[in-house]
Amino acid sequence: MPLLEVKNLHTYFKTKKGIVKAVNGVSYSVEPGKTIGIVGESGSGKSVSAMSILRLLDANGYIAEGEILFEGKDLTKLSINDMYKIRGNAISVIFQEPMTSLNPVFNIKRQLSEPFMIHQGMKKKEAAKYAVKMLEAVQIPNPEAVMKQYPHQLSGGMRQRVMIAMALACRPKILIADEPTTALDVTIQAQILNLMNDLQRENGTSIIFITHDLGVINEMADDVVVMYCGQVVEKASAKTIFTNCKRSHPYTEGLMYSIPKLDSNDKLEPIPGVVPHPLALPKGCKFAPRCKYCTKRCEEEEPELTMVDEGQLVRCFYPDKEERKSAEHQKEVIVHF
Amino acid sequence: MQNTKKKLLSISNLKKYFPVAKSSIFQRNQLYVKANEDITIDIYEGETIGLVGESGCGKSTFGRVILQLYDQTAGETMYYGRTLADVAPKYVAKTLLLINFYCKKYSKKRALADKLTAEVNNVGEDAADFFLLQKKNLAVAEAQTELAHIVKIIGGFFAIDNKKEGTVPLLKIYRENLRLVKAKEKTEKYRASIDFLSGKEPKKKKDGTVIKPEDTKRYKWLQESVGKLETLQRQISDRMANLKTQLKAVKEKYADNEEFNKYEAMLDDGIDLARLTYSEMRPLRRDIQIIFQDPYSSLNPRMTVGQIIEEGLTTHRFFKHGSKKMREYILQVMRECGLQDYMLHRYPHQFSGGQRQRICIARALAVQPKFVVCDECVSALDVSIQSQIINLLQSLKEKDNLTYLFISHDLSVVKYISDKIGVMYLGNIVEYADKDAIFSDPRHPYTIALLSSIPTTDIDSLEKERILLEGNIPSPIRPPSGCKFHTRCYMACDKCDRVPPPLVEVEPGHFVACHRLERKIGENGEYLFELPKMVKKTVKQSEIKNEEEKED
Repeated sequence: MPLLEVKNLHTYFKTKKGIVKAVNGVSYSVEPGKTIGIVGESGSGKSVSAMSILRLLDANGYIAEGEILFEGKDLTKLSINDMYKIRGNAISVIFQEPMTSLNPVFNIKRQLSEPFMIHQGMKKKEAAKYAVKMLEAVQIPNPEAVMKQYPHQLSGGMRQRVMIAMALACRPKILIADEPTTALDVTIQAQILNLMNDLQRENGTSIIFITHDLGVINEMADDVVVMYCGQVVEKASAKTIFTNCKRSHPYTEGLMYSIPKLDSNDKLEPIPGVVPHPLALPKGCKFAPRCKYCTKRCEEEEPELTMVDEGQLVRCFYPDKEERKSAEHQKEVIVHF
Repeated sequence: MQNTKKKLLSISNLKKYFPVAKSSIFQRNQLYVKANEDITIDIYEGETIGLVGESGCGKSTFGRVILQLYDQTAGETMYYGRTLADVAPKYVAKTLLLINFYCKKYSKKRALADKLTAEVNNVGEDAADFFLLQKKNLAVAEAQTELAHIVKIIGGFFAIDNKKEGTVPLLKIYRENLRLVKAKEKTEKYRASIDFLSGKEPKKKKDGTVIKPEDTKRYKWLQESVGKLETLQRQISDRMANLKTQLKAVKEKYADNEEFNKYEAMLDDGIDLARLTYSEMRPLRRDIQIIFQDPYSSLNPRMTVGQIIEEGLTTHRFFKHGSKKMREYILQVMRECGLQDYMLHRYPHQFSGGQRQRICIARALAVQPKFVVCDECVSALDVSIQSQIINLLQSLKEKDNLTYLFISHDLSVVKYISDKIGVMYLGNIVEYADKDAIFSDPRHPYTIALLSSIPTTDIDSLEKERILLEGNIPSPIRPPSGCKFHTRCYMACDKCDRVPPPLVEVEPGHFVACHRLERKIGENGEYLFELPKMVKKTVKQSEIKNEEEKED
């Protein structure tokens, strides 16, 4: 039984120019103790879909349709007071930029004791004791001294560790990590990823890992959700996606070929073109204008997310790699670039 | 291979220190952020040099110092794309005229350096005060720079007491050269005007007579002047050749003098970018360009794409502003960089990140540079766009034989685009080699750790052990003594925290700054040393295996 189920989620934003459908019918589920990775380019709706779970949306954003089931409750229908009890307690978030998400006018002690005082009703002194323990758990050297410091006195890696400590304070069941290592250097990134892995093993937390770095996904995730233009285009286990699988979405395939690899000198094959504007999405398949296998059917009809293999769902009419590369298919292809 | 290629830039002992504001008025010693320390690197034409390192290691500073966007503290940046004869910078005349003054200045600086070195040696390098060491290092570097300034211009005459013997003919040559350069500049200017005039439509007068642009007074005058200037140039060249043979005769007198030969070898016809004045640097900016990291903040929001690209072209007098040729050229550059013609009159905010980066590239490459610094130019872009830009840079490089300094923190991108890679740590280059050597045979422990910490999409790589560096980069204000990496190094010995390792050549073209130079990676990619802290990347891979076994 999954811990969290996102069903047919639609999150829209009202703007002056019209309604932006940032998330358009996304479904996935999170199993206890597992890591689910969400990849996509900027603007693909990966962050919005995860933030919708906690309803941390901008004022003009709203969930138009869909259910988010967490332990039998639908989070979209809970009152705001009930949401407060869940945020930071059962489900917590690590944000992308550790500088802007820590409060610069409070010291670490005050910020880190907060979850203990709010969710577990501890007194100040007791909470501080636990806060030190949390800092130790995230391997910050000399935690007592760090408690008295302010965010600007810490380096990027340290701030991100504090954020992780804060997120894990109440031993959440689900941790949403929104690009937690994007702003960090590789050596620090390796430290943080390792730390998250260790903490997950200890506490059995489920992680929703959002990133655009496929390498990080390979290292962290058990299941991968690939998003494009607010839709899930592929859903499979990491093992299937990163090994040479028979079937896949052309977008996933393109992403794989467009990152330079350390162990080969193959020429890069970039995906041509850019992500379409959210207010002017193509009629048929959203990826059709950039796809090198696109046919007339792709431009007119929208494909459904269909099961192509055990545990692998792909939103494409031609999921088979061999088939779409064959000469027969090439006849029908519409060349855009 | 290397020797057949032309050297384009030669940077030696480059130092860049940023002074830190004093915390109180009673603070006596100045603190510096040591962004670059003793960087020596040669860049050959048509090469791509990749520079990797963590944030704060000084790689961007290095890129900007080369372009003279920051003044360097010590060291030389020699540029060979044009010779001294093409530019005739003022500093040459100054050095030749005031040679005694410069020599005195050098001996003063040398004396100070010697005094401080002796002081340090007295106490011993380990026990010496931090500020004393800093002072000594700065004094030594400054003396060295001063010497290089003089010798690079007068060569062997530095070893001779009567320096006037050399400086007088050199100064004569310089003055003739200056005239030649000015004459050339003038001719070019006139030629451009002629081109502009001949491109104009013929004028019609009221009485019906048509005046062709070729018939105007100005046109005739221009052509006459160009002819005159050309004869002048020939005259000057003859005179210069004469003077040069005279100088050669003087030099032959000293052919047996060892000291003379030693300094004569240091004679250099490159341009020391650091000594140029601002206005002299301007025309050279055409040759060395930069593409900045963030395409959102490096484009002027109030200028259209056409204006942005045109600005450099008018500054460097490619074409006249508003001429037909200018427009055609801009469109051609835009097409090469993957921009459509109709985008000419659009503003930067109407473009996406990838397209903006294309505008930045078009702006940099429009002036036909020889050397381009790409400062993290793909880091802010999405994966699919990133690969488009990398491929674009690659194809433009092949077409125009460009030289890149590619600065990035992403090793896989650097590997894809570069021929040679330099790894930087806290202001120093710790390893510099061909790209294949860096990846197959890394020698510096930092490089090995960096390589092992990159997440890859290869599922087999999950099984490989990874080296986790502990802690953060130390502060560059008070870097660790000895080898700067020793505080995080997993194979540091006690020598490392005392003696800074020099950059030595372990194999041809492979430079490493480390005390432990032995091979560290075996043929099959296994580590030949005991791992510092064995951390499995994830348990995932083993879990998958277990499941497979169960299924079987």
